[in-house]
Amino acid sequence: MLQMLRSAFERELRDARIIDEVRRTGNRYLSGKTSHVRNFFAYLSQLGSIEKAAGGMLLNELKQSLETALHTRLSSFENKIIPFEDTLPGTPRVLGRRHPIYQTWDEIARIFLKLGFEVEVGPEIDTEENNFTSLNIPLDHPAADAFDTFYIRAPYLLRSHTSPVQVRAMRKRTPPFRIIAPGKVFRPDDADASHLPSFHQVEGLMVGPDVSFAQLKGVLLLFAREMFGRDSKVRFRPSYFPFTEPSAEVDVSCFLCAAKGCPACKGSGWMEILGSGMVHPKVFEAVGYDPEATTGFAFGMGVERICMLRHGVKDIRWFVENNFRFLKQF
Amino acid sequence: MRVPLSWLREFVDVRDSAESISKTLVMAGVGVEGIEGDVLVLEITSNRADLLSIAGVARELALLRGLPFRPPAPALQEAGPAPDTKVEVADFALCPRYTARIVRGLKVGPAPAWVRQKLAAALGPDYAPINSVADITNYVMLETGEPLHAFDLRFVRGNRIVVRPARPGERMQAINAKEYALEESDIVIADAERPVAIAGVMGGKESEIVADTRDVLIEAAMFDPASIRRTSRRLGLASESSYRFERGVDWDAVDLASRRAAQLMAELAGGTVAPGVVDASAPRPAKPSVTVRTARVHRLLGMEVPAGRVRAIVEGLGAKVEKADAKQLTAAPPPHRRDLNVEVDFIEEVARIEGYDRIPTDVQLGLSVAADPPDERVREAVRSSLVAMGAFEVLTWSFEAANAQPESTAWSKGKLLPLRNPKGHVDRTLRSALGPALKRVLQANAGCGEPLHPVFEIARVYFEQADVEHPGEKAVLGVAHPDGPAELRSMLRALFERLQIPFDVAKYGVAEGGVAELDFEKLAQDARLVRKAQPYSQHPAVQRDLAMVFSKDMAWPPIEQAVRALAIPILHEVGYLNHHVMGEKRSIAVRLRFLAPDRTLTGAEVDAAVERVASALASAFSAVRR
Repeated sequence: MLQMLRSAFERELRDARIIDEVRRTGNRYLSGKTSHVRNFFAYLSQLGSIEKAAGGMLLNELKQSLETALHTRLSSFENKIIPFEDTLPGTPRVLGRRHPIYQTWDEIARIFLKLGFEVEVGPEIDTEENNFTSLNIPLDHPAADAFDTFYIRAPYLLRSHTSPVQVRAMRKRTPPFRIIAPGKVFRPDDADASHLPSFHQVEGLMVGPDVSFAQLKGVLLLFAREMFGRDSKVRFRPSYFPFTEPSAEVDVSCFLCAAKGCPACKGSGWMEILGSGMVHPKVFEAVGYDPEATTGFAFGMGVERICMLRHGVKDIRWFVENNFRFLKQF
Repeated sequence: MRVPLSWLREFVDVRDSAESISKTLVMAGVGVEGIEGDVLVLEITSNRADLLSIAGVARELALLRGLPFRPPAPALQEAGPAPDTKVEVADFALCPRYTARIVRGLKVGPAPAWVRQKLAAALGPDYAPINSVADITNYVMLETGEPLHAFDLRFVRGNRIVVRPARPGERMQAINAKEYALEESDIVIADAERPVAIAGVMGGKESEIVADTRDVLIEAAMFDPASIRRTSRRLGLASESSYRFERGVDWDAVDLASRRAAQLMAELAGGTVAPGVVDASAPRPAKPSVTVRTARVHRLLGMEVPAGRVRAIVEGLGAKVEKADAKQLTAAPPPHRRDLNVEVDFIEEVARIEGYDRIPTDVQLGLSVAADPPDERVREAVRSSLVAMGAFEVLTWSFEAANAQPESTAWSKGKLLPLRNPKGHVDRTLRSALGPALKRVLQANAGCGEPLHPVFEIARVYFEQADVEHPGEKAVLGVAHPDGPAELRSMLRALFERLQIPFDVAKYGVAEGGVAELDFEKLAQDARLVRKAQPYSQHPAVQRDLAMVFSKDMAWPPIEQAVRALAIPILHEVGYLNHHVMGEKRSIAVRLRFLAPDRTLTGAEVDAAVERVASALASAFSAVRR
């Protein structure tokens, strides 16, 4: 019976989750007025002297070992008491953030840097010559509509694409070279859910004696795989830009639905991401390159568009509202 | 451009579905915006004016599918006297081709149902039937791509047509019932007395076809695309006609359309077509032949296309090959393709007819090492430092309101640069400072109850330059701290330290009321990002706080300056600890840290140094030690 008592006591000590439970157990078995050990001693006093002696020895042994076990268990708890201050959450920390548009810009630039494309920048206020005529866009032609912009006073305007930067780069560089020209561009559109009067583009240019359409396809495939996933595919469709011939619009396989079709890609499995083409000889003439000795390709993409597709941003105006509730999601 | 398949099938025998036809067109560069039942809605690029007609699209589809193309072939029955209307073109540069055909004795009523149905399918919900004659002109325009205009011959005064620039002061009421003031840059179709149409854009109300019109003059012409575009933009007036004239119409389509319209007017409105046509045209311009070199095709595309295949494609386009061998061919561009003028235009055709997907993908680019742009590392250091301190990068508008009047800013003393939109109005200006935009970001966020964070942006500001025509712009770093100038200053100080630039805001820009604007280009120039390691002390530092009582209007910077000026070698750092106001005075506590590179400091040394600081402050500012 004493064995059963000891086992029960040890079990209760083990199961105790907080120090109060340990103390109560100690009270019930050892120290309390009606504790088990006390009761046993009381019972013992009613027995004859021989049983009293033997029983007393056993009971004392038990009492000591129970006390030892209790003491050990109590100190294991005391060592685990945690001061209140240590349980506090601590000073709230907020990480600053880079703006999602600049994050996307950085990522695009980083990919092209890996391919050896240097970054060129240029002024946001440029001339009709750099924004239109050097790029084979006659001013009085419907082709100029797509590049409509704000004028400060003729011939000074806000660039409507970053191609003017490429024109400037060609005027000061000798082929072969490859560059990207990222930057802010302007169009006279009213701001709505998918348009802004100022947004960002990254354009690219590679020129040399033997640069081909096949290499254009190669560069954009490499870019798509880095930007949108290793399994990305690209599709080139004929199109028209005044400064390239042949021209192409480039679709990337929809990375949201693995090209199976979804609302973001309008069920087609493809997302239009880039415009591109072989630089028109007239552009080379305008910048002083011999069109017989030089070929090149150019491409361009909208940073906002890529950012919106990638991150599911539903309204382009969120980028310029700069609400912390939006910015801190990136 | 809407293409009803049933109408398309009159010219090419395509049997498959709208979806299937759409795929062929899209992969050949003819954009499809959508499919509405049996109608393809096409998006035609501005270089393919030949596709702005049902017959044009049919011809393209026939080429892509290798099918025969059945062009419209009107057959006329002419009777009665030849037309005697005189046509005079003032300047062939403005109007290289003008034809007038007469149909007499017709009865104007509603157009038959089949005409109205086809127009409804091709023009969409905006279409409203007018009358048989006007609807026929629209029908033929959609079919052939050549815009036509019909005049009631009664109202062509003097039986004369003069194609000329408008005279100053001339006005005309157009068929949309609005009156327009015309300028010399506008081409008009005039009769002996006054303008009866704004050429290529819209006809005049007085000479339009009405219920009792009997004799009709059908105008089929070509106008200078740039002039039509300028007039259309200036008047804010665009039409299906002006759209096509801006892109250029086909010389051969002019007479084809004129005869087709005359035929339909005779059949459907009971008129008689007068024999012949009054034709006032310049000599037909000859387009130079183009040489396409096989080697050049290979070089540009990165794909070999055999000379025979190049020739087949060029001939398929309707170009007449004049000579050809394995190395090159020379061909006259097809007249209906205004976009085929030089060798690369034909190379594009070869590429798209072969299919862009057949061109190989070459990922061998060769090695090229890209140098970092000069200020890129500084930009990265600035952004990462500010972000590390909890600042949010923002993206603000470059614009200010049209009537914004800025006080002179750090970057410009003058007015803001005005921005004119394509309609010619100044509806906004360009900012000459970055601070206000950052302040507005904080205000907007505060307005929606959001806890605030510091914000920053590296962006451009714009201004007139004194000595240069070209307006100037500059990259500026703007930082705004919601907790005020002290917090802003500590953030900037940490940033300057990171860039290893001595802290001097005034040298780079301005800081006021929690907003700073700094010349980023100058910062980039002065920044030193490569660090040189210095040996550091292995001995313990000793910290002492010194509280002194100053006058209430004492500022912190002179105190720090005075202490630093002592140049005590073992004084390692001096900083502000705290302050309290005591009646008319202010007690300010300074935290001093002492450290020697070569020894452990004794208490006596430190005490002595603290004494020096206390006396310096006492004598400079009449401060009393507590």
